[in-house]
This record gives sequence, C-alpha cells and structure tokens, in this order.
Amino acid sequence: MSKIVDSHTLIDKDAGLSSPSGLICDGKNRNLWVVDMGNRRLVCFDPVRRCFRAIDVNTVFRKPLAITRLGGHLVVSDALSNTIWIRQTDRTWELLVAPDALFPSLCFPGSVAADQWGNLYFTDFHHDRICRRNRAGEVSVLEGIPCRQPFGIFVWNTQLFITDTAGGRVLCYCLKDGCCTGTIEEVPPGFWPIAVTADAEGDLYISTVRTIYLYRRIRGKLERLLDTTLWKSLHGTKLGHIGAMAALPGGVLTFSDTLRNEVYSLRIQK
Amino acid sequence: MNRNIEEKVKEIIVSRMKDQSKIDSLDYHTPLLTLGIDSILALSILVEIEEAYDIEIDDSDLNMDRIRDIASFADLVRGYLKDE
Repeated sequence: MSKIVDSHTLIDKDAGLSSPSGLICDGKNRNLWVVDMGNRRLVCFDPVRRCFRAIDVNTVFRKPLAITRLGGHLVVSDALSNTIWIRQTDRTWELLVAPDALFPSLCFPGSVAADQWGNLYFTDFHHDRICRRNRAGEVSVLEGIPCRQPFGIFVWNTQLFITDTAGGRVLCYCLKDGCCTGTIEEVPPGFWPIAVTADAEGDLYISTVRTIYLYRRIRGKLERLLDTTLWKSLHGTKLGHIGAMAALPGGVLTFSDTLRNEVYSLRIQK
Repeated sequence: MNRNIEEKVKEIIVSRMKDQSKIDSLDYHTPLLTLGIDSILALSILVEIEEAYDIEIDDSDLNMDRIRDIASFADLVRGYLKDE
C-alpha cells in the first residue's frame, strides 16, 4: 500500500521554471526556495498564498545548481563557474568558495549543506570528495569518505548524509567524530542515488532519476515511495527527472522535476 | 527502424545542441559532455527518445555511463526494443 496519501502540483509549468535544480524549505516562514537553473533565478514560493517572487541572479551565476542556508543566509553553488556564494543581508552576493580554494580545483559542486556550527559542506562530484568550509573560511577535504561521484548531501543533527552516486550507496559521516559508515545495507540493483534529504525524525528520502525511496532508520529498510508507475496513477503524467527534494513539517515532501519544470508536494503517512 | 537508432538519436541530440559549431565533429562515439550536454540535457534527450520509440527506460539503467555518447544511447534503446 502506498504511503503517499495526497499529491499536488505546487509550482506548475506556467510559472516558467527552467530546470529547477535546488530546493530548500525556509524553516522560519515555510517558504520554499527554488533554484531556477535555466533562468538563472531564485524563486521564493509561499505555499499558503500560492504565489512566488523571483530574484534574478544572472549577474552572479552562470549555472546555479544547489541551495542551502548558512546562518540565516542563502548559499548557492554554481555548476559552471564551480563556485559557492552567500547572499548577504544587503542582498548582494559574496564569494564563499572559489574553484582554486582546493587542489585540484573544485569541479561540479552538486550539493551544499550547512551544520549548526556554521560549517558548510559541499560535494566535489568530479573529484570524488566531500569538502568543508569552516567558520574561519578555511576550505578542506573531509578525510575518510570513500566515494565515487558524490552528488547529494544533507545535514541532519550531527550527521552528514552523502549519496555516493557511482558507488550506489548512501554514506553517513558523523560530524562529531569523523567516522564514516554506509547507511543502507540492502539496495536494489542499479541503485544510483542522487539527491538526499531528511525529515524532522531523521528518516531519509533518497532519489534516483525517477524514483524516491524512504529509508526509515528505525526499520533499517529502504522502501520504494514513488516511481513512474505510481506517479502516473496519481498525477496522470510521466516523471521526467527528480532534481531536488525538501521535507516540510507535517509529513510533506516536495520535489522538483527538472524536465517537466514543475515542483510537486507529497503528503506521506509513514 | 532498428538499424537507424543511431541516426535518430543523433538527430535528437543535434536538435538540442546549443553549440551548433560542434556538429561536424559529432560521431557515434563523441562524449556528450564535450558537446556541452550535461546530465539534465542528456535525460531530456532520453525522454524524447523514449517517446519516439514508445519505451520506458528503467531507473536502474539511467546512469551517465549508459548515455555517454550516441552509440551507448542507441545500445540502451536497442536493448529495450529487443525485450518487447
């Protein structure tokens, strides 16, 4: 039986999104921030009033990709200039991580995440590594995380979850002791995890190209939450490519489809 | 139709390429990444191919290694046509 009790379109294609690639929930007012990659915009969507406003970032970004919050500020990665930027209170953008902050140079920062201590984490997809920028601005590689083409990361509490995309695994890195372990013991064949997020209970949502899995840590089992067949029966359309996900309070999972150029929400009863 | 999969894939790719100056150097083994085709564009090409051949490629086959060039795209499609 499906755990999805309701689904609907939050932002439809008439909004003109182009490859919505990043998504976060603004915890304070529950707005959704969407990285509108193709239009080089950030879109702030108010799910209650069902309206949005857009911020052009085309003077700063060539290909904005991922988004997170760091100390109340938006942080966005750029997949073409291989940089990471922070939005200041005066609404200007300041460079946080330059490509040459690392050797070899940062190449394709697929995902960004921040912890409660002000550290920023990001994936370096083409160099198979996870990096950190600490509060002092020092950039380093996290040691002891064996992965191939890591794409997604998400911080929950004191744990950093990483999709080891080419390795077909989801890793858990403890931010306190630097210990890295595999999270999920059994995965289906051809499991190429891309995005990862967690809800308030710390249960994980992991996406591949067209499937979303739920990993309830208390059960220790990966469950298929949404796939193309179920989506077609719920929504009547074909899934294109799941770009990003964000868990909202109240058992709601939102996700973007970078090919259909829409953002959807699922109400989930675990 | 089966023999022309590479040509059909090429036609779709060419129609999606932003930099048309690279078309002359495009052969069946040219890595798509060198043509400025990233993963999202590659997947949108794949969706168009799925519609053209009325197939649905399984998630487990959707990694960049399987769609790195025209030849691998065509092999993937061929496998699904065989299954039917």
